[in-house]
Amino acid sequence: MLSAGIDIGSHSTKAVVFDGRSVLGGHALVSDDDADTAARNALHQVMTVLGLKEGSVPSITATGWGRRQVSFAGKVSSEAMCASRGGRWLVPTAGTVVDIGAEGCRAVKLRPDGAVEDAAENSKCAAGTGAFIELAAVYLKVPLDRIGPLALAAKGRAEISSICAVFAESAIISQIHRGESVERIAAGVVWSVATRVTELIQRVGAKGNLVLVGGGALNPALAKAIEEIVGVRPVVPDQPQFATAIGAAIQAQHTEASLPRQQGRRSV
Amino acid sequence: MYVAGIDIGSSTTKILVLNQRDTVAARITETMPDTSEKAESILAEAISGCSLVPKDISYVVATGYGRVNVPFANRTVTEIACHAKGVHFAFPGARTVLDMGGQDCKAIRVDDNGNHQSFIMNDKCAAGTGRFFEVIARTIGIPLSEFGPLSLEAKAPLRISSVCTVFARSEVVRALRKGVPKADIAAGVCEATVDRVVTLLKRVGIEPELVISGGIGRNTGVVQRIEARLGMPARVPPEPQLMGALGAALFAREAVASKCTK
Repeated sequence: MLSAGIDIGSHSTKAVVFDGRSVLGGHALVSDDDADTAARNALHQVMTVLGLKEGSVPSITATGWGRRQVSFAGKVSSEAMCASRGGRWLVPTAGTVVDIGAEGCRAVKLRPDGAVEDAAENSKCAAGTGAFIELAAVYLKVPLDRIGPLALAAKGRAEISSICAVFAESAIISQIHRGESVERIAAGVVWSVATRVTELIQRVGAKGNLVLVGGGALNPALAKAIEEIVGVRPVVPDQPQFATAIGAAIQAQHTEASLPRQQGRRSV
Repeated sequence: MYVAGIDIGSSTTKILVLNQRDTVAARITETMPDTSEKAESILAEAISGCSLVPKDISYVVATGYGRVNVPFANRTVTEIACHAKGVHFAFPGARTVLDMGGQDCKAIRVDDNGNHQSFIMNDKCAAGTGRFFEVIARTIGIPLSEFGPLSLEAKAPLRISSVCTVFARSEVVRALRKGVPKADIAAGVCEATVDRVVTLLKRVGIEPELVISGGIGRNTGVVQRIEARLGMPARVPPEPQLMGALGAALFAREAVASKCTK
């Protein structure tokens, strides 16, 4: 049976189509105020590429910030549930799945059978989310995707003492004034986010393989900083930003709480 | 005899110069990364209008978050102590002070002598600070000074569910696109801030008179809403932003007086 998972994040909307064994295709677009339209457009795009007719995907699950606005989704599921299922499907050995999104971050500890044992989440404060890095990129006047490489190139890091993403602006400006390099400031920014993320990991108590998903997982410096703090190298699957949508598509296949059998990972 | 108080806040730097009786000069400038080092030239500018030069100032007290790096200050005093002192001088009946600056917010209990008894401060999170208003004013495209008056024209204040300034800003952007009037947005931001500061005030314990100082004192939308929420009047000094610098200058004047009597 074909199913679709749609993850309406605060920054981007991701849709994937799943056949119970593999992910057939996926598409991401920038979220709109109208989550329903964004979800429809993202799914339509995937189905067009796959040559699927309207109505040929019978089971659709929506997740993410705008999940309740998706009129055509049969079910909704929480981000933590979908991120953990998707993370586990991409990396079957996952013990803890960490999802770093644009405006939220969560750590989910899994039982050996893949069920959720414990979860911790931050969706109240921009510290420890992609928004912090996004704002820092604005203050540093560099593109968002440059922050990771710049941070990796830094020798040491500048101290970013502000927890608040808004106050970080003056912290960064005074660091620039002090003659700190963009690289070291970028490294400080990444470290600040990693510190907040690892607090969530420690709250659930990491075990087994640590898997990073969500857009934040695309930042190589963030994965490295988390490794330095927790002492475990995180596994980052290909295209980690689709993990939560994949989890939703898996949920759509299974009405009951049981998990699907692992079918090995596939890139989107 | 002239003394000066210099209050280097996160957003603005305030200078106030006193003689034995009155304020002779006062100035508010934007804080720059090098303000602390340049404090002397800022002082020189502030007093040039009354034909004074920095060496005419016998004693300087620095306060505010940038106080530690002011090279020519004789002494530094915490902003809590300075605000309590400045507000008590302006309103001797003041017992509770709410001071909201650019990047912090504090609720202070003051005794009969203008000493601070207890305080609660938020300087970790932009919610409930002046920065929250700056960010939203920029987002809806109005000058900060219009925020309060505009908020009082609201018909249906927008309910802002996020505490975080970054996320609240996203809510405001979505509201703007939906056509929510700017007045309703401004009112929603004021309401959200009042929620925060009232919590802070209740934790420190509210006793009349209540005085609101700092930049927020100029936002009528917030002041009126705090009064309505608490069911008590709030007094606002004519220059609410200068209370810290005034307190610092008063400390400077006391220091000179005690030196003379020794």
